[in-house]
Amino acid sequence: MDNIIFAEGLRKTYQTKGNPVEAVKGVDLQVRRGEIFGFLGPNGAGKTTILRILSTLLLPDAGKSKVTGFDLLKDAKNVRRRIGYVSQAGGSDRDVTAIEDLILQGRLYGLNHADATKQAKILIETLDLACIAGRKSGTYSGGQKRRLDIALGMMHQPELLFLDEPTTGLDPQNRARLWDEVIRLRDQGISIFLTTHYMDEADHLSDQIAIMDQGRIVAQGSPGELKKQVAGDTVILGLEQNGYSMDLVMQLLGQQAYVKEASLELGRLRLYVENGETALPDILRLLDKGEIGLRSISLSQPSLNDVFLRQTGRSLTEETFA
Amino acid sequence: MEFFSELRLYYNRKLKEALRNPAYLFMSAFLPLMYLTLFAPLLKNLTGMPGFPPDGVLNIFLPGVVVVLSVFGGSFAGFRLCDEIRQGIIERFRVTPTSRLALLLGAVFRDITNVLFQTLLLSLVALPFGFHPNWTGFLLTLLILSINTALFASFSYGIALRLQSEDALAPITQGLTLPILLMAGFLLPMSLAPQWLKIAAHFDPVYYSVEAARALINGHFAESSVWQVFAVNLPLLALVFLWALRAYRKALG
Repeated sequence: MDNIIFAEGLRKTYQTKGNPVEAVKGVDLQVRRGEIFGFLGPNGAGKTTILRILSTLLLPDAGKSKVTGFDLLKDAKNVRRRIGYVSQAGGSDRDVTAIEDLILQGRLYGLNHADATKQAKILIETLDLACIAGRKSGTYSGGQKRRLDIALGMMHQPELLFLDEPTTGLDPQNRARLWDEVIRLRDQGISIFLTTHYMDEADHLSDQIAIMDQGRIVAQGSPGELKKQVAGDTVILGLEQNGYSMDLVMQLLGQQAYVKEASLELGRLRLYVENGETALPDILRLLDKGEIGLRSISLSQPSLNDVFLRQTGRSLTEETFA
Repeated sequence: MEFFSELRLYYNRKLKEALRNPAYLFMSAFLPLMYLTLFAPLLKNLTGMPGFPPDGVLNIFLPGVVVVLSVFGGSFAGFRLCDEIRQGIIERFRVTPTSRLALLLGAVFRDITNVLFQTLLLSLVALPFGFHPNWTGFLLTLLILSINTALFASFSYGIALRLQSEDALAPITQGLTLPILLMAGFLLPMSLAPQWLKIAAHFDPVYYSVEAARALINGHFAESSVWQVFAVNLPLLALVFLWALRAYRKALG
């Protein structure tokens, strides 16, 4: 398979006053061409450091890497021609209009004025910036500015686009809209490498995910694969108290092959099952046959948080919103 | 070829940034005129005092002022850079395949342009008030001012890239420029200074600029300060410029 990013043994330690901070402790990565690769982890996990190394902004202490087919250390200029990069801060100049900033960006990549103008107009159209493109970007809303930042990263039609926390600080509407844009770019054939600390974002967007924690990758795979690694689905049953023993019900269901574990808590029966969607009809049938009254039933599938929890013993949500 | 077109793009961008900013333009034009209107009149009575020729205090005063303009024009350049770093603009440029030298040089050339513009404006206004430079010396002075501006601008950019904060930059800039300017004898000639201050001044690169500018504008080409200013400030500029360039090449943060 054609890898657009290949990295092996990346390490980076920041020298700060007092003690050095080991931000990246040996990371291997393979990102396939044409996919959205989501880099998920709590703040301070080392995601941005990796992204800055791969986008030629930061020299690693050790390790080798090829990006868009060129050696990162020996041939940074060729890498730079082929990648786009949108930092957390964005990079658009608030004192300049979108059209002016886009043209400058195109010219920095060697386009002549006419070609840069043409490309800027295309991006202004596709990213829906037409009615504000003549205004200084300092007056834009958060979502508009984000779209301009992405347009800047796209001016030279890169093969690979790096997005650092692209939706941080956006309202839900603008977030959803940006997700659509990212997927559209992928569908045009652009490979995308994005960092995020939002699980739903990584889950929704990524073809492949790497979960990073404390400088290491703790899990890697497609969202589906990763979630399959954890226990499976959870079915929670609320039963009517009609004199029959809850323990017996638990025993009855616990005997079924597809139930891995059953437990009782606060009058509710919690079942861990392999595949919740196929188990549900069978559970309902069994309860019906035993004339056991059912008040409520719910099925939950594992989230990336469960994956993170399993790998690190900590919850990603706690970290993020602490 | 590629390098020069990148340099032009970065230079034009910085020039437009200055032209767009009315406060910058206003200060650019009026700062030099303030010296002329608010300080120069005090010098009238000094005519004939030691260090001042009988035929015009402006020929002594103006070279000092334009050197001050070059020091300020350079050393405050880093403040805008802090803002650009925060907006992610510098990082955005560093991901492009463009030359880092062009990025730094574009900004430094803009700063030089600004100082030369100020100097020409001030000199023009001063002409009817008795400023009468030796024009060859004046041209050489412009060169000295360019070197000075580049020196202080590079230093300011280098510090700004490393500290990335206006709050850290301000005390360094203030703390450095004030003693450097006072020791250079920009307001009054150092011939008025006590011996210890005269000796200390020789460790101040700007002292040579002031002395050389005064000598050149008055047509005294044979004075030692004329070659000393190049011997001291050019190697210093090379050193500081390379140090700043390293900061552009290396990663931020």
